[in-house]
Amino acid sequence: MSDFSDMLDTLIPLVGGAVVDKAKDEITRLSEGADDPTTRVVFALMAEAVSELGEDGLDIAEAEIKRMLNGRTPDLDWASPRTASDAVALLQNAERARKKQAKAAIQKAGKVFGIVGALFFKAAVKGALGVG
Amino acid sequence: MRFLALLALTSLFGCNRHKVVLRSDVTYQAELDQYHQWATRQAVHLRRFIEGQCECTGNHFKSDDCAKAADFVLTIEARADWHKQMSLWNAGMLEQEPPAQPPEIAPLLCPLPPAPAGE
Repeated sequence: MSDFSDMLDTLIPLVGGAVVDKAKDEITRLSEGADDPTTRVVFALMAEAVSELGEDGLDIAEAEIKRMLNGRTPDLDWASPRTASDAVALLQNAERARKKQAKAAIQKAGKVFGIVGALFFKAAVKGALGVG
Repeated sequence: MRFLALLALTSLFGCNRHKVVLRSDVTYQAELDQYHQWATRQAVHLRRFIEGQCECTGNHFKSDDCAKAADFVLTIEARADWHKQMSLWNAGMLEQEPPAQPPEIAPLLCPLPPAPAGE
């Protein structure tokens, strides 16, 4: 995620000084070349921010994209419905991935507890019986 | 043993920066159904309105309002079901896992492409 923050920090001053239409075209061109869905959404949001809100839109886009990339809820009411849908799809897929990781971790923890629990139980029984 | 369990639970969930919200599954399902119906029924009416009232210049809509309305219709038609399914799946309320890739949204063209089957 920090890769994208770094990219935004580099990109925003660069396009901020350019003519808005040219910046929009350039971001759109970069967006079309991106093969990763997150990168495509980031570029599409920036292009739409410039298109809808002008040069000032870049600051808003930067703040909202960073919120999204940091796992917080972004306010994307300025984005087109298809780009906002892509952004929400990213958040939903990220939540799915987190849940799968958590589920795997719980299953692993369950197995570990099973082993640890059995060892403790055996030790407690042996202790109670005075078996060495 | 309790300490170990507490330690493990803390390590699993303690650093999670996302709030976990507990909701009534019945109310949550009802809300999702309502928002989904609002969106999809509006899309049906909006499509009819666009098809009856909007004009084309080549492959583009003549009016900017028509283009914006058409973009909503195409997005809702393509994505409403997938987003709803993902909401239910992530809430543990759906048996069948939705695909990772959301459906493609048709390109914005005038006239509107036909609505997907079932719309």
